[in-house]
Amino acid sequence: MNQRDERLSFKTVSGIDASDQNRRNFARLSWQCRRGMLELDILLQGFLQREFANLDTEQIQALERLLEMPDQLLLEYLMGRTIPIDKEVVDIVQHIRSAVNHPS
Amino acid sequence: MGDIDSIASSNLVTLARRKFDTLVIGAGGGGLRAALQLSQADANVAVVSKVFPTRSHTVAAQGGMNAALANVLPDNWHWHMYDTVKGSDYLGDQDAIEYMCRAASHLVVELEHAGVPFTRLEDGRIYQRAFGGQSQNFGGEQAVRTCAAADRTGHAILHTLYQQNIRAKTHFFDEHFAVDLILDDDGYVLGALTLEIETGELLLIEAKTTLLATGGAGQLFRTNTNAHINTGDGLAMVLRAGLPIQDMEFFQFHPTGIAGKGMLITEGARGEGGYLINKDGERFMARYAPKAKDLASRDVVSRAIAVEVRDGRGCGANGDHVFLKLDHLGAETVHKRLPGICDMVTTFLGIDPAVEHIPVYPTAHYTMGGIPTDRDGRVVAPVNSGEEPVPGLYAVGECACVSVHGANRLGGNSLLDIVVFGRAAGNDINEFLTANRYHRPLNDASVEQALTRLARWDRTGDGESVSQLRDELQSTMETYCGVFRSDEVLKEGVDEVLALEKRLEGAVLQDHSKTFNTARIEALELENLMELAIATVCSALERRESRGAHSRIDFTERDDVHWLKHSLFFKEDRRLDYKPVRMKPLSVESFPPKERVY
Repeated sequence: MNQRDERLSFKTVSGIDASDQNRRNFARLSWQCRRGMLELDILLQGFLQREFANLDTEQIQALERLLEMPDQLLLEYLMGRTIPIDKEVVDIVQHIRSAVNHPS
Repeated sequence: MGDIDSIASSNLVTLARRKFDTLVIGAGGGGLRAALQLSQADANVAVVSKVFPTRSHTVAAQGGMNAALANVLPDNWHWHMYDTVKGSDYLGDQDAIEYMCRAASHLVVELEHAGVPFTRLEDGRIYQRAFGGQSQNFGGEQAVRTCAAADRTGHAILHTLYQQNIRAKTHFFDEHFAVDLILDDDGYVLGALTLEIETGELLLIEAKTTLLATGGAGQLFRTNTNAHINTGDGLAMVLRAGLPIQDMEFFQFHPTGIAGKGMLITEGARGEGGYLINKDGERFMARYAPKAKDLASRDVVSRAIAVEVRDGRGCGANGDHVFLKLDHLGAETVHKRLPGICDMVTTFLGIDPAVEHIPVYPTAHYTMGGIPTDRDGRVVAPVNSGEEPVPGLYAVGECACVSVHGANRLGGNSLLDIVVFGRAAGNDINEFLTANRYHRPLNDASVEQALTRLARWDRTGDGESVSQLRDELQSTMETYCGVFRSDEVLKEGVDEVLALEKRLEGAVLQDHSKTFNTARIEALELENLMELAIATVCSALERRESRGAHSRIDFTERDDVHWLKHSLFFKEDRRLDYKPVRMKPLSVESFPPKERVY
């Protein structure tokens, strides 16, 4: 329930075609979501496709920090086996995990 | 066409160029092992990778790496060789297999010294675990041969090799996509045209030697275990260069992938007592394998699932999968004994496998076929009645076909393959560079050809979308060239794939921006997959026998009289040719084909 509530409280910002900068940002992040493991591809690319338009600047920055992590650690986080230290990264991980099963 | 030609010509004048001794395309374990060998010998090496290097698919290899260290039980390389030849269903080349198995122990120690944290035994030696298909004494008791760094061996090898390459001053072109090989009229490979994904700028990399290490092509199939980057780019480049690719009909499938998604549910689930059911709730494996039932070998279980679905007994709204049933084991057993499976199923399906059934379908896992090479990593092509190396071109890893895996790869042999032949190719390239000290003159015609192919995607107007065609291609390959193969099904498959190829000609991009145009990269990847789909389905149609991963319901037996040979597929006229399996090892007696029983 908590994850669901949190996800619904996210503020909607401009859509992905609002500007070229936004398109570039989306494309750059989507390439960062291309990883060495299928599990990560599905979780990250699916999340970005569905939720990018709803992410605010802080959340995008947290996502960028998450994507800097090596693949094995990312998998640990996204499968819920390890909790990141960075609070905002924790939030984005929860967001990704809830979005995979409850696409909006 | 006139417009596109003129775009290509004007680009040729302004094209940015760099020169290196060696160009390595692909930054997985094979490419990085070769690059390291070369950089340490002071060669000037460029590595081009379409994603950040440590995001290559090697990172997903969890099992480990086979080497007859004999740290746990008695073992030697000759037993390992026997298992590999037998596992390959006798299609592996025995000289290359001997070379790999003999080199294995040395390579593990070398990786250890480079920094790979292999798991230890209590006495400090490298830990080894048992894996399927391994035996002592030529088919005797189970051997213990697989070295591992916990459950992240591929990750550890990839990161170690990347760091060592940084130290050795290998030059990395991250997020650059290789478009096509550049060749001259004498057949020498001169480098490749690449595209920087961020800026959309082209870069021509001229090199005295080019090594392809682009990995497998799991994305050919709708349900697969591979990362999305595995689109077989190097294999398609080789086909377009007029060279053949080998044994493409051999693709390893794992019986239980999560349906529609592909991730592996390991055999452990069935080992603990889980079993498969169809839409009527029937435990159908009892009909296909009355004794072993759900624990029959991978190809038998895969085929049974495909038959159930094809005959209308599949589950779900579309009847396109079966269920793996675990709930009868009780929540405690499921959660305690299968925690990894529980994590995965909960994350991706939002269900508890102790309560609900898991939808599964066979999932494509490993490309045994690939670019034909010799055991020095040199790409070879038929000349008269024999074969000769293509000067300046090398290939290693899953994109290559040495062939050490033949018709079926054993667990723990893929990480071994990439480091053994990565190093071997590095050594041979060093010799080539000593004998060939200067760059050959560039061949403008070959560059223009690559530019023209690229410019085709600048077309505007109406047309089909790339993602729609990719989805259809993957479904078509799964339906017509998956685990359920027959003359009738494969013939339909050839027609379907050729129709898709025709439709691809009319596809158009909606996004023509230059910077970070990932849609253009995906279009180029689809072109690559299309080439390989045709190669795979045509090779599978012609091979009228069942061997290893290639299983025909109309030719159920292995046929050594007619088919103990490698297939070679050429793009031109979709021609197939064959070459003999190298049955003679380097120093020991040959292992003649026998019935493969486990």
